[in-house]
Amino acid sequence: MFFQKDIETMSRDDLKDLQLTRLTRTLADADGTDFYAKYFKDNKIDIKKITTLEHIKDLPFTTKQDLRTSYPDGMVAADKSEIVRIHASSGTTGKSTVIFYTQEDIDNWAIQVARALYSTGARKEDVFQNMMGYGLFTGGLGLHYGAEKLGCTVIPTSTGNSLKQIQMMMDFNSTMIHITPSYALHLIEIIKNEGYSHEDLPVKRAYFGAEPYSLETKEKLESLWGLKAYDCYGLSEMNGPGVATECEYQHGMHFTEDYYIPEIIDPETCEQLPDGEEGELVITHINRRAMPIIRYRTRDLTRIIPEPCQCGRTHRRIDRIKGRTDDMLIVGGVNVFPSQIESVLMQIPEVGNNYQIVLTRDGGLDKMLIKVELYSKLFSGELNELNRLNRHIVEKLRSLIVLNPKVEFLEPGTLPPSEGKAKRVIDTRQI
Amino acid sequence: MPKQLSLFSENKPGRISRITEILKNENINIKAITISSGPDEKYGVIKLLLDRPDDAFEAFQHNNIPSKLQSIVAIKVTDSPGGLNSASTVLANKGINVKDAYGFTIREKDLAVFVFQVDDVHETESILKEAGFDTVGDKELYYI
Repeated sequence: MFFQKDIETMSRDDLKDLQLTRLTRTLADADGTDFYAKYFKDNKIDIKKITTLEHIKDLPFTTKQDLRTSYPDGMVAADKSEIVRIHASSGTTGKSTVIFYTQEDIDNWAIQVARALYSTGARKEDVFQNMMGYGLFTGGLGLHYGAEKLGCTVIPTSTGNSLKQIQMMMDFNSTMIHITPSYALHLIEIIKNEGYSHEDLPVKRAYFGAEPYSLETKEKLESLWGLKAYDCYGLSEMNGPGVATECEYQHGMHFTEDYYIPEIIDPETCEQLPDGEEGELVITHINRRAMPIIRYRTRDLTRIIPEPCQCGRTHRRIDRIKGRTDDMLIVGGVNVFPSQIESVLMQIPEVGNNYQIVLTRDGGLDKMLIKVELYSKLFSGELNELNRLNRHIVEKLRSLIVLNPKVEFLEPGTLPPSEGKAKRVIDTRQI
Repeated sequence: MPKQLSLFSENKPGRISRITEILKNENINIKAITISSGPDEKYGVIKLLLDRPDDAFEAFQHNNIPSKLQSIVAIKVTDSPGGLNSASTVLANKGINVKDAYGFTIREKDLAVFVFQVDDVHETESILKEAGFDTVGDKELYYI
């Protein structure tokens, strides 16, 4: 069952031919932009010599910093009158990065997302409640247009107003939701407090976005909501959602290879790695007219799965994102990903879903404190049980991350609310 | 069986005030209170004997404060030296492990009430009764 069978099941050779044709056109478009014209010249790149896909490794990388440097429109290849929309990523440091789209780009993006949703089992009969932020952020509008293209009924509730969300969900039988994982954890509590069980909910499929989440969180959410969640990878620099998505077999995310050329590199040496090896994902967008981006360093760590998928799609898959090279915390000389800590906490039923990692430095030594809310309904009533639970969590964490963290229990609702992007790490260490 | 209510609380200003405020609003009376602190005194457990523990439990759950109701054994003894010793000796001889204990006195009646938290409340109660102690039922305890 395919949305675009000819493209999704295209032979690898035909797919590579298509990629090369599109890469060549993309490089020519890029050469017309202020940024890439200079970049190719400075790096002594003659784009006419890029005649095979393998040559892509000779091209320079594009970084987030490059996007900031070319702000506001140094990477725009299309005539300004052809631009129909811009999106921007939430820049927590420095300027935000802005992405431009022509009408053709918007249409292609909608097709890409529709195809992705279809591959998870979504059909035009579905009702899609989009609880993601609309506006500059790509997630909300990206899935909105894709679901409409597929023919679903779209309910654009956006974020917040939990009681209204629940009412819409029940009254209009929403079968699919798009939501941040932290808000999904929060909303299901409210749904239960309203007296519903997960059997009462019409939702069958969820797409979690905007925040990284561990496999344990995904499984927990699936059982709390009684639904199936499909991993969906995207980043605003590459359009937004729909870059890679799990099919119904749920064994890795199929990369939309007619739109992108994915590579895995060693983040230290910047050398290309063979399929199957883990490293940093680098993406070239080969199907966007307004803003070509070449060899973009995503900072996301994953691997390309070399084996073909049972579903029949020929587009290769990537593994779940293991972490981001810039999410990685170095604590006492040890590399730690917040997702590792989350995966431990999610296995402990006595603690809630909200947590915070606080890093401090005391006398030259790094200290890690993990604050986690107790889950009200499983409180034992005994201090020595709490102490035992505390030691148990510390032990589990220590065996995973080598460090010896401290764990502090909080009353439920003490940490910042989980609507929208949750801030999980507070690093007060002075460099 | 009488019940005690245990609460989880962070150790920071205003926590006891918040808890007692909830009880005050529900018009629930506190008979006894104990507080114990965890590592680094960051959090602790508050145990309460109340005249309406079930209503209090509901109110705390409603306010999303981790709370638990547990059955306990309570006995009345005269308020004089050795009162608790005789009861705990009986329990020790029978191999009953007391997980937590506390007491309070009622001056007008010259009476002390001891509360034992144990695994098997029914067994403990019958042991104490057989040894001649005056155990307290829930209604009696709540309205002393």
